Amino acid sequence: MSFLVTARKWRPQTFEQVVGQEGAARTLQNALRAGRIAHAFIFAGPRGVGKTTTARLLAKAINCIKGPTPEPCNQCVSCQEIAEGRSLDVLEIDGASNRGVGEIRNLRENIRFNPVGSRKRIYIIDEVHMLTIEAFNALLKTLEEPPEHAIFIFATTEMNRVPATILSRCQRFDFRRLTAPEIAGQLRHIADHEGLKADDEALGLLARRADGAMRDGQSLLDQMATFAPEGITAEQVRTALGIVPEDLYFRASDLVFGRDMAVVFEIVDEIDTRGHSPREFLRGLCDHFINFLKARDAKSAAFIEAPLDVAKRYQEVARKLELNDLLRVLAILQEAFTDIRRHPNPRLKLELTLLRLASLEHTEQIEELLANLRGENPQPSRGFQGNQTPPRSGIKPKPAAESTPKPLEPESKTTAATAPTPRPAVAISTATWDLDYIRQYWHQIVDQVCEGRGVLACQLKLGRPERLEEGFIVTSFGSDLHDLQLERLQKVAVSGGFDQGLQTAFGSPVRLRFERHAAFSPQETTASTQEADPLDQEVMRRLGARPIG
Amino acid sequence: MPLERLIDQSRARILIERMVQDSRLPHALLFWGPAGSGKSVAAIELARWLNCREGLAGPCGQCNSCIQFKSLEHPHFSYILPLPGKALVNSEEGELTEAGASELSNIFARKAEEPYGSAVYPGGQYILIGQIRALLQWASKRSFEDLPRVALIDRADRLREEAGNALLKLLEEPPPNFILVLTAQSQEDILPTLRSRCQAVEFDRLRTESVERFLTRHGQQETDARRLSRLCGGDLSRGLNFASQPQVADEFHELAINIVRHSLGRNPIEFDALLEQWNHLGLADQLIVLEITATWLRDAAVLQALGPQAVKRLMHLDRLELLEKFVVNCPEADFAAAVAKVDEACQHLEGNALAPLTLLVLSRELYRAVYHRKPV
Repeated sequence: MSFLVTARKWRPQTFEQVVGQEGAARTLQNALRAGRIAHAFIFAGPRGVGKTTTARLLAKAINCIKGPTPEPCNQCVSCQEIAEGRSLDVLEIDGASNRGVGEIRNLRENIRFNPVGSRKRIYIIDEVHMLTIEAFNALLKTLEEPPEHAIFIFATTEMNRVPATILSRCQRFDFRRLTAPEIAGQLRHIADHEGLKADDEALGLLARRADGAMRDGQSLLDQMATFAPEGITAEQVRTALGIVPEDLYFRASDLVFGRDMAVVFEIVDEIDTRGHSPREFLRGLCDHFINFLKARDAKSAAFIEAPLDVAKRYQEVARKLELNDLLRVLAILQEAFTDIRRHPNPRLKLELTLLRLASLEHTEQIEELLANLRGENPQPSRGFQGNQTPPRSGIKPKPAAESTPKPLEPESKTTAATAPTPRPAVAISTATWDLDYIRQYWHQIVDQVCEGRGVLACQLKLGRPERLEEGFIVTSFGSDLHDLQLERLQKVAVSGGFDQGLQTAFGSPVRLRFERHAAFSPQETTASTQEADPLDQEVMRRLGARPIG
Repeated sequence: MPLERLIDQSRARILIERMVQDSRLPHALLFWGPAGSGKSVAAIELARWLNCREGLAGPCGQCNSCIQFKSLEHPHFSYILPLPGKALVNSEEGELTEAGASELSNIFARKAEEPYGSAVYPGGQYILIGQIRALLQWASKRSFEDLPRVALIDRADRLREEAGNALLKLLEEPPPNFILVLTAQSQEDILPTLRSRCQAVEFDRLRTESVERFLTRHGQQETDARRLSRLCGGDLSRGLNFASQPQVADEFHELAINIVRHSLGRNPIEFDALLEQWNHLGLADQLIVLEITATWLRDAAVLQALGPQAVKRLMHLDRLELLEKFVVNCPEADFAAAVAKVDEACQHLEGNALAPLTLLVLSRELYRAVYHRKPV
C-alpha cells in the first residue's frame, strides 16, 4: 500500500544528478573542494527545480565522513542519516509552520551546542519567506556571526519577500526553471529505470505541461503510469491531460475568420463531450493564434512548435490574415483566459468568447481605407473571408423595433439636390464619401458620433471638416470655441471617446483631429450651405432671428 | 463498487480506482473541477474504501470502519474546511471553541447523510493556520491501526497564505500511510508550490441529465427536477439547495430575469422594488442570482445567433416566450458584452463592492450593451 511517488523516489543523491542547475552545483562543489564554505546560503527559484534537494546534498557533502567533499559518498553513517531525515546535526525546519519569533529564539538558544557526531550543525530552513518580520530580525545577529560549527541553508520560492538584511548576510544561489528537453530527458531516464514503456512524444508533452518544474513532470509521469500501465503513448497523454487535438483549434479559427455563429455551439458541444476543459481549450487557442502570428514571417515560422505539415497549414492560413485582426483576437482571448479562471460557468464563458470572436468586424488598414476614400482602390481589401457584415441576428427583428438609432440615415433628403445622392446605407460605403459629403452631413454625423453627449455635439458642430488626412478627419474651429473647450474635445478624441461612434457612422476606423482656424467663422457654413436644421430655419424665419454662434 | 456514491466522473473514477488497485496511490491528490461536481464526495468515498477491511473490491458497508464513516467520525479521517476565526479558541492554534465544535459536527452529520450537499461553516472564509497546525500534529502521531489516514482539505483555494505554506512540508513528505486530498475549483487558484506537490485529478461539470436524475430519485417531481437541474447549471449542491426550498429557486429565477428587464425598462418604481429585493439577499445569494442572469443573457445571445434552431441549447426553456420577445425587441443588442458586464459585477461583489451600487452600475451597463447608447 505504501507507494513512494517518483519525485521522492528519484530525489537526486549526488550533485551530478541534479538536472539543469549546473551553475549552482558547480559553484558549491568548488567551494567544497577549496574548503571555502560560507556559513549561510540562500537558494531561490520556482517550485520543483531542486532547492531542497540541493540543500540536503550540501548538508551531506559537508558532514560526510570523507568530507567536506564535492560529492557525498552516500555510504557513511552521516550521509545515510541525512537521507533518512534522522540526523541530529542537520535540522530541517519548516519555515512556514515555525515562523514566529518564539521558534527563532529557540533556535538561537540551541545553536550554541556543538554538533553531536558530525563536523557541522546545519540548519535548513525551507519556505523561509514565510517567517515573520520579527523572526527575521531576531535571526540577524546569529546569521551574521554564527558559532563556528553552524551553517544555515535557506530555501524559498519568493526571494522578494526575504528582507535585504538577511540576503546580504547569505551567499545567494538562483535556481532556474528547467527547459522542456531537460525535463523530458530526466523523465526518459526514470521511465527506463522503472521499466515504464513510454514514447518520446508522450514524454515531450508531459515535459511541456510541467512548465519548468521537474516535480510537476514527475507527478505527471506517475499519473500517466497509473492511467496507462501497459505503455504511455502520446495519444494517451492527450486523453489523460485533456490536450485538445489541433484540428479542433483550426475549426475554431476558421469560425472566427469565417464568422460563423452556428459552429460556435457545435465546437463547444464537442469540447464538452470529449471532456476537455474550456480553460484548457482557451489556453490552446491562444497558442494557436500566436502560431498564426509566427507563421506570418518565414523567420519566426521556425518557432512554431508543431509537426511540419501543421506548420505549413499555419503558414497557408496566415497569408490571408491581417496583423491587426490577429492582435485583436489575441487580446480578447487573453482577457477571456484570465477571466475564465474565476468564472462560475466556464463553458458559458467559452461560448460567449467564441461568439464575440465570431462577430468581430474585420479591421481595415488605414492606408487602404484612404486609398478607397480617394476612389483609387475599389477592390475589397484582403482579410477575413466575406468582408460583408453578416446579419447580426438569426431572428428577424419586427419592424416595430426600428427605434434604435440607425447609423447615419440622412433625414434631410429634401435638402440640396445638387449634392451626390447620399446612400442611406447602414454604414457609409467607402466609394461615396468624400470631404464634400462629410461637410454636407456634418451635423448628422456629429449627432451619430456623440451618441447623446449633447455638449460635445454642440461643440463639434461648431467645427468645419477641413480635409482628410491619413485616416483622420481634420476639423478646424474658429474663435467661437473656447480654448478650454477645444482642449477638452482633443482629450476626448485622443482617449478614443469618439472612436466607437465614428466606427458605427463610417463602418471603418476613422478618427478626428482638431485644429484652430483663425480666419474661420462658423456662421459661414450655416449660411452658405442650407443644412441647418429645418426646425431652426423655421424659427429663424418666423422670429427674424439669427444664429449667434 | 468502489466510490459508489459518486455520480458520473468516469475519468476521475477510473484514475482513482486504478491508483488504489495498482497500489500507486500518491500521498497527495488535488481534486479540481467546478463546484458541486463531487470532489469531496470522491475524497470521502476514497477514505472509506481505503479503510475498509474487506479488500479491494470496494467498501463493504458492514465493518466497523464503514459504520464509523457513516457519520464521518472516523479516527483515520480528518475533514478540514474554511472556518471563521471565532470558531477557534485562538486562530494560531487549532483548538475549537465549544460552539465551533458542535456546529462542525452538525455540518459533518449533514454531509454524511447527503454527501453532495455543501459543507459550509457559516461565515467561514479561510482555512486558518491553526487548523493546519492541528493537522500537522495529528499527522505526527502514530496511526491507530495500520490503515491509511486521509486528510481532506476542502476548498484548498481558501487556504490562508501562511496556512498553505505551513502545509508544504507535510504535503511533500508525509508520514507513511498518510494521504492528503485537496479540492479546488481550478488548479490556478492554489499556491503553485502546493499544486506541484499533488497529483491533479480533474472533475467535470455534471451533466444536466445526471442532476435531473439525481433530483428525481430524491423525491422531486420530474418537471421540477428538469427545471431545477437547468437552473443550477450542473452544480448539484446548489441543485439540492434549490430542491429543498423551491420558492427560493423561483424567487431567484424571477429576480435574475427582472434585473435585465428593469434595467432596460428604466421604470424607477419597478427598479426601486427590485433594488429592495436585491438588498435583502446575502452576498452568496446575490452571486447566484447574477449567475442566473448571466445564463439568461447567454440564452438571448444563443437565440440571437442561431434563431429557432437554438431552442434545444437553451437553459431557460421554461421562459422561452419571454426570451423570444426580449431578443426580437432588441435586435442590435450585444448580449455577449452584457454577460461580460454581469461577470464584472460578480467580481465587484466578491471584492466587497456595495451591493446596491453594483446593481445600479450593472443596470446602466446592461442598458448600454443592449441599446448602444447611454441610459437616460
